[in-house]
Amino acid sequence: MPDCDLALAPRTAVIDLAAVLSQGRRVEHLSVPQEGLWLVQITEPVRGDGWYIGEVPVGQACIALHDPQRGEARGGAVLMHADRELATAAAVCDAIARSGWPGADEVARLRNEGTAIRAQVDGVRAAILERTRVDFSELGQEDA
Amino acid sequence: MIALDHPWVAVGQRRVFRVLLDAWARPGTVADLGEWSGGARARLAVLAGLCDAATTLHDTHGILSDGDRSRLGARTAGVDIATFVLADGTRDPARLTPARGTLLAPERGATVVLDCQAVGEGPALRLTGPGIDGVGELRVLGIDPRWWIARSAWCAFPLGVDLILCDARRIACIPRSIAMEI
Repeated sequence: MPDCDLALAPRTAVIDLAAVLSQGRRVEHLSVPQEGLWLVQITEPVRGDGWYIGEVPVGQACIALHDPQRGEARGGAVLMHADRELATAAAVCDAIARSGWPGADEVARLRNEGTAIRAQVDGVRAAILERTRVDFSELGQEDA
Repeated sequence: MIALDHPWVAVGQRRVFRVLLDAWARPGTVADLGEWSGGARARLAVLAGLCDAATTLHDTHGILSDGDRSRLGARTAGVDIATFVLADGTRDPARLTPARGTLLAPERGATVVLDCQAVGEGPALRLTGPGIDGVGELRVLGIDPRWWIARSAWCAFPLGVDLILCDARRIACIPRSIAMEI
């Protein structure tokens, strides 16, 4: 199950779950959470020059969760949303899921929600795409 | 929200940057960063306000914790090329050779963040130069006097290094353009 499906789950659900999972634990930010536009760079193959082909909104966070009994769990998230609060919450969920601490099932449930939303969106997009399909072979037969 | 505190909050970092600009414009004046340092020493608030992933940092005496070093985001570099150099002012600056810039690119001279015992107390330094009306006085406690000798060797305007002196809460700036007498 792709991790990115967590980003498709309802924003408030991810943030609320992260708040619950971090209760009684210390959240240490390993880097300062960022949000903004990420310039997507490619290197052209002839001269090796860098080119910026566009930009996407990005939020990212990297945290360590400290539990008095269980120790430390680390997690990170890079989302295509310029939303550092959501990225931080996703990083907390990632830490729980990776470590298998209590709450990992809840994180998996949210991911399943994200997967369902992804399937729904993919279905809508496929239907739109289908309506734009043009069969060029039929046009060729009419011309003949 | 799982929030960060000062000095990692953008609004505080902008205030620190504003204070630094004022301190650069008026060399030798003492400014208080205690409100935005989150209980850490002023050096961390200064670095948090200045550093990001586009900058380089050399922690000469290993002052920063691993967590703070990671959160600053600046790349680690050798002392001779680092944009920012952090050092403990109570220790000897021997063999320290921060970047002085070049005549074509004097802006590549390093900014040295020097941690000391107290800014605004202790023996007086006499400062003259741009931004100072006549002769200014800055009191600094807990700096190895060899730092002043090293600074005079590094600085030949427009080349040289810029100093930010820090204690627990306060800072003062000494740009390379300033002449200093002990």
